[in-house]
Amino acid sequence: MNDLELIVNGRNYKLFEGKDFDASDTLSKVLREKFGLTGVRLSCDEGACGACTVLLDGKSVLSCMMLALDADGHEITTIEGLDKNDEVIEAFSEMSEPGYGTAMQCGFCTPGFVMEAHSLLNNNPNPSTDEIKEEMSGHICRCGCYPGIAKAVENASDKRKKHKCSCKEGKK
Amino acid sequence: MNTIYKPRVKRKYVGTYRPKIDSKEKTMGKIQYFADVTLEGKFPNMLYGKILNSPYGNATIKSMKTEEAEKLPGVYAVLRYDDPEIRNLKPTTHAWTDTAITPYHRDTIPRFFDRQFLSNTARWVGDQMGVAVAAESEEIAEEALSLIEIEWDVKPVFLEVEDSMKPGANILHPELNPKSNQLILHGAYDDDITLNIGNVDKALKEADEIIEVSNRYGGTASHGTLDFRGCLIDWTDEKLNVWTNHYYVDQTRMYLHVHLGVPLAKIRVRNGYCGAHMGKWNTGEDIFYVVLSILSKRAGRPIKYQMSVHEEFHDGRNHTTWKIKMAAKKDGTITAMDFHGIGNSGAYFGACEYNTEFIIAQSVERILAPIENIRVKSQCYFTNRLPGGVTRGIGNIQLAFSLCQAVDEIAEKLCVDPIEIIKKNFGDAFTPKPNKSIAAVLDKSAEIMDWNNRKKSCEGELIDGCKKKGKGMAFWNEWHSEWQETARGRIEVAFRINPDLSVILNAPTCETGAGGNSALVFACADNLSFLNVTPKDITWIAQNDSEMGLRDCPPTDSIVSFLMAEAMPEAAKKVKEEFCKRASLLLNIDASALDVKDSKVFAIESPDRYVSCKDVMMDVDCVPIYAHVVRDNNKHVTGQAFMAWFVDVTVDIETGKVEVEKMSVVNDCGQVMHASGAESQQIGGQCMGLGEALTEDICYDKATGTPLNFNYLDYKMPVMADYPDIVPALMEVWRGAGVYGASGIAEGAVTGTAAAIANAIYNAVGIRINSVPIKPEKILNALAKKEKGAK
Repeated sequence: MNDLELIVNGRNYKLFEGKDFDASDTLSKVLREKFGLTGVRLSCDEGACGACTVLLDGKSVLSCMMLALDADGHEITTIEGLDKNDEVIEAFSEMSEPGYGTAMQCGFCTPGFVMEAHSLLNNNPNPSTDEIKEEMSGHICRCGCYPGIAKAVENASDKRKKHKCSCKEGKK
Repeated sequence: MNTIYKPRVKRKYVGTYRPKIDSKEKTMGKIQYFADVTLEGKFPNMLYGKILNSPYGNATIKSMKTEEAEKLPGVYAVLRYDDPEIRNLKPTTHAWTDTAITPYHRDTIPRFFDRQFLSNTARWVGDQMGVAVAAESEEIAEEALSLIEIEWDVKPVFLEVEDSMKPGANILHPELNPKSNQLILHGAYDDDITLNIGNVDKALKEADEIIEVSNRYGGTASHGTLDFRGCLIDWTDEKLNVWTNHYYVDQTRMYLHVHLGVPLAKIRVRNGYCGAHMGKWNTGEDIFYVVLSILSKRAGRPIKYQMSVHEEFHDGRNHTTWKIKMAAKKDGTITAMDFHGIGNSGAYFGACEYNTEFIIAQSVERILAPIENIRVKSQCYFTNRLPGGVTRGIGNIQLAFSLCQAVDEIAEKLCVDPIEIIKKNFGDAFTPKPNKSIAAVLDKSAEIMDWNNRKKSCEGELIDGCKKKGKGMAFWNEWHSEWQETARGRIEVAFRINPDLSVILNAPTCETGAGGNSALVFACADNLSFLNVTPKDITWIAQNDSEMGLRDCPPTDSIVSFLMAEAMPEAAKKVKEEFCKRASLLLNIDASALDVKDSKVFAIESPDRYVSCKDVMMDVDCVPIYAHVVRDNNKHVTGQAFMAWFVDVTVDIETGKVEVEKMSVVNDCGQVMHASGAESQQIGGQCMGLGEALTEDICYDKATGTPLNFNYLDYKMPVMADYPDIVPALMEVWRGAGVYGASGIAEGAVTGTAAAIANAIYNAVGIRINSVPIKPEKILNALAKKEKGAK
């Protein structure tokens, strides 16, 4: 039997196989069903849409494409682990600059994009427009709010520089 | 250039650029969708349902053995096609659209009852039919299905209209037409001519120029949303409880009522947010609701079903070919249009007739009114393709793809700018000619996209030795204004004013991303300005509940934002009257001599005699003020607003790749209800528009009719890197009836994208591509053909 140690949104958990999870469970299933973290969206379940993106030690991963067991010992951040005043959260939710629309419509894909933006800014605090486009293109927003999302990521980067913030998630 | 629109009437909240009301919750992942409210932990007793997806595209079940599946541990119920309860059900339509009244009561989309619950016949690969199971887990349910032995009578499939007419092709819907696979339309038409205005033959004879086009749009695309259709049904006692992400609880309730005979008071349907809609819910009577209900009753447990990504493709954009003959005089007057629409309906009706008959009949008064001679031939055929359904921009998009290319072609022949051709020849039947809205959106677009510098076809410069630039455009009417929404009956809205003057807004609609909820909160705040209410003081009820709430209004045609807002002035008036009535007892002044401003009720003659609204509320021990309005739609015919798409493309003549570099989307809205939300629809609609135009392509194995790419890896939707620079521009030129007089724009945002791209490709390299998606191989083939022709 495999036990599993996870740090989820800053807290340590120990999970027991058979009781808390099955060896075949994906990380997305465990986060949603066991932890109730429904901000981790499940859609295509095959790594195509990006909706289930979480951070593993500060870097984006598709939680539908990895087993929970493979996350053993790692630090996982979901959208629920971000502060409401987080620069990326603020930039996405405030987006209404004329010419860009909004950064979401239905909101289903939004947490995945937010986590991807975190991963990008953790690695590259000052991304160019092309770098943003490249990094965010593993995600589908069928409502098509890409210009608003790209602008929100830019704004988040600017805000972070202003606040001299460095992202902490995943830094042990 | 600056495209910030100038509002006709400046309002504090309506029409402004501001975030959506729920953007923070959406960003933080706090919104709960169907899969979230139905987590296993919340329904520990829950089972999972699965329905057989037919492996054959044209087959009938000869016999079925379900014993092994029934014996499998964890299986609670198996429901077969030959079960008496199933076979006693009435057939259904899958063509209901956006009313709660059912097709059994009235035509909404013309009705053809061509679907049976768990039929013994499969008409496309993926058809949900034959058998359904209830089990403890999805995996057990799947295993149970795999243990069912079926003996099939398999017939050859046919995917094209031409093949459906061949002698060997079996009749897919003998209940509708025992003689052939053609859908017999409801009207009594000679030779399938559904419309004949003026004298088309005479006009064609007398024309200076005639062009002919034949273009196919559809049959290749799906809605592509991320929140897949589903329901959880608990029918373990007398009451039928339903949780779903369907966009219209009152429609789902009526559907179950009609088919299962349960009294409406014993059916409770609840929904909440839905992760995008794109038209998929319009044909809302999915068979799984009825099948799951019976399974729940049999198993004595609540049961959940949610489509897989594969199943989510189960209807799509209707496959329609429009042949158009267009005649014109030298001065640019279009004298005749001869249309022939051919619909490949796929396995079921799926609203196909809507595309080839209904929409063109509507277009005559919406957009073709100035043209004196019009004839329409309309035909639809059943094949073993994925059936069509309702998809954003239904009908209009297929017609626009052909018509806007015909306009471009005739303009070139006549050596007239297509903008001038459109201004001269198109418009609705109810506003003076030339149509001001058309002129406004075209002129604005031309300015944004530097249209005057457009070169003649193929005369653009060659870039990098292999690329040519081109400009193209398309236009269409907006979809819809208030007078076109009378089928929705009446609209219900209620304000509940709390003792602290915060507000509960009951404007029931499913928020699918259309953003009507934001516009409604802004309209509520504007209308309750006498209480100094701001959007932050208002809670919009996001959960619709057929037992607790008002009748909901489905978010189609993006009309919710203004249809419900139009009811708010009356609701606000009722609130004010109630404050005056209550305050009159405190002030000892007749209510008719009182008014409300700045959260105070005051005497009109002596404003220093007043009482605060909060004190008024406290005096009755916090009983809220509740204002409920049922509003009949304003049927005053106000004509039509218009929209335009202009694009710049680059065509690589070596690889065939088309890049859309920049595009403008210009909409006359009548009244902008929420500027940021409207822009978001203008920009966002291009995800479907660009995808369908260039990359989204459902492919089949032609021998078996098996769709090959029902997944989001091989079905290629645009992502951020695929997006061009999009310039949205909002206008208020046309005006509808009512306080706001707005028009929906979101449904139509996709309509002209592909047509504009096709025209720009012609402008760049001189080839006409007559079907979507416009993939590189089509460009290369057409270029080769052109070169061969030139030799």
